[in-house]
Amino acid sequence: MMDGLPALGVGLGFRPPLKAAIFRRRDQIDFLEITLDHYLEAPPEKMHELDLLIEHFPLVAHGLDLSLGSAEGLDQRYLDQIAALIEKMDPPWWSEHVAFTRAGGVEIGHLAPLPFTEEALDALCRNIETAQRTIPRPLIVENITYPLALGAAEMSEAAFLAKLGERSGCGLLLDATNLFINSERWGYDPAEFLATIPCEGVVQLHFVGAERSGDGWADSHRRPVNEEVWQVLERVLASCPAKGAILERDADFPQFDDLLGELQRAREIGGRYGRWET
Amino acid sequence: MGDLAELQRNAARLATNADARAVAEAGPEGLDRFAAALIQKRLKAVRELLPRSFALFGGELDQRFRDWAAARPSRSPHRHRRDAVRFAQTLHHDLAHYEAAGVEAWLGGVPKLELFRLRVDRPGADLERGATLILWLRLPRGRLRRVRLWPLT
Repeated sequence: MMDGLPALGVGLGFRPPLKAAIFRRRDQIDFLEITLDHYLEAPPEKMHELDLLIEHFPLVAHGLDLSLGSAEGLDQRYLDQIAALIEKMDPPWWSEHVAFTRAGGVEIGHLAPLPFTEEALDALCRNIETAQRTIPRPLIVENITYPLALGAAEMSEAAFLAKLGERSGCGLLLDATNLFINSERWGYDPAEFLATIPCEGVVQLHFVGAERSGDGWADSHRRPVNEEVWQVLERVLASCPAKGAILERDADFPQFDDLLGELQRAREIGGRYGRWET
Repeated sequence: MGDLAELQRNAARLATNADARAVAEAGPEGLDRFAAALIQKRLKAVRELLPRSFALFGGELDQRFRDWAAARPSRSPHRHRRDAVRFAQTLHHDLAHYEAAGVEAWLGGVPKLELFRLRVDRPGADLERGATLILWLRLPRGRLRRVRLWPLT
């Protein structure tokens, strides 16, 4: 299902405060990632915004709240809602997270980590199968940061993702920033992680600056890309035939030229490894 | 499935409810940090949606929001907007009601007509007394517009 996907290049996660600049400088943005949840039950002007984006940019779709890792299964109403949006956007692929966001009738409002166990793999694979029946186009799943471990792990995160790809046929959305933060927090080398996951299954990347927080790092999505993350991004692009990379800046926006500079730097790194045109 | 489902139910309950955490014998290590990050994320979003209210009330509103949110999980979709509307209702102040009315209008409750006892439509947090009548409505192509009906100038 991941064969023949187009190389999109380097783009931005669409955020409304950037809208005017994104349209003004659209020749320097290869594609946009749209957060599906922002358009669920949205008012007409928001849907008009989506129509404009569809008209002017290649898009990929990114979901936040499907809760693919829920042992209780998926919320079919939510799944139908995002299916309609994805149909409207017609992206080459769509993405969600290796996480759960609801359980026992409680919405957490945040991505919560799964235990790296066979039981969690079973739940994920069941839910992915359900999602793929409703949305028959390539699904890629993203690694999250996890400040806590729920339950006892039976394998490493990388081994868990490798098994997931093997069993479900899903591609990976590899978040380079999350990989950096997790490697620092849990004390492993990103190179070991990359040696364990099936790199050929990496379809898309995320990157943004990691922020110092206490004695560790946080994925606040509001910092310029730091050198440590650039290094991880380069390692990933050297190993994995990714089709696109998205800068995920959510807040404390700098001058738009600074964001374009980060896109260009990522474009050049990927270009060196023949991942896309520069 | 039983073990994972139970683990997730407990984690969801503990992460979103401070009272449940207080009486739990033991939760996963790092859960308090996770829960605090969750509240902080909600606070940041609500602060952006009710900026003048937060300016008016000062730093005390941050803690009031944390206390309020600790026992109230957010609800999708548009969880932060819904948080802002629900939290503003607890402040019993015209400015908060005015800012929340704009958020409610965005969520779909338009046309919406509201009368305020303060000049809430003026920028900044300094407020004068004076009736202000505001109408929110949608123009063709769905754009949300706010129209001040009183005072006329």
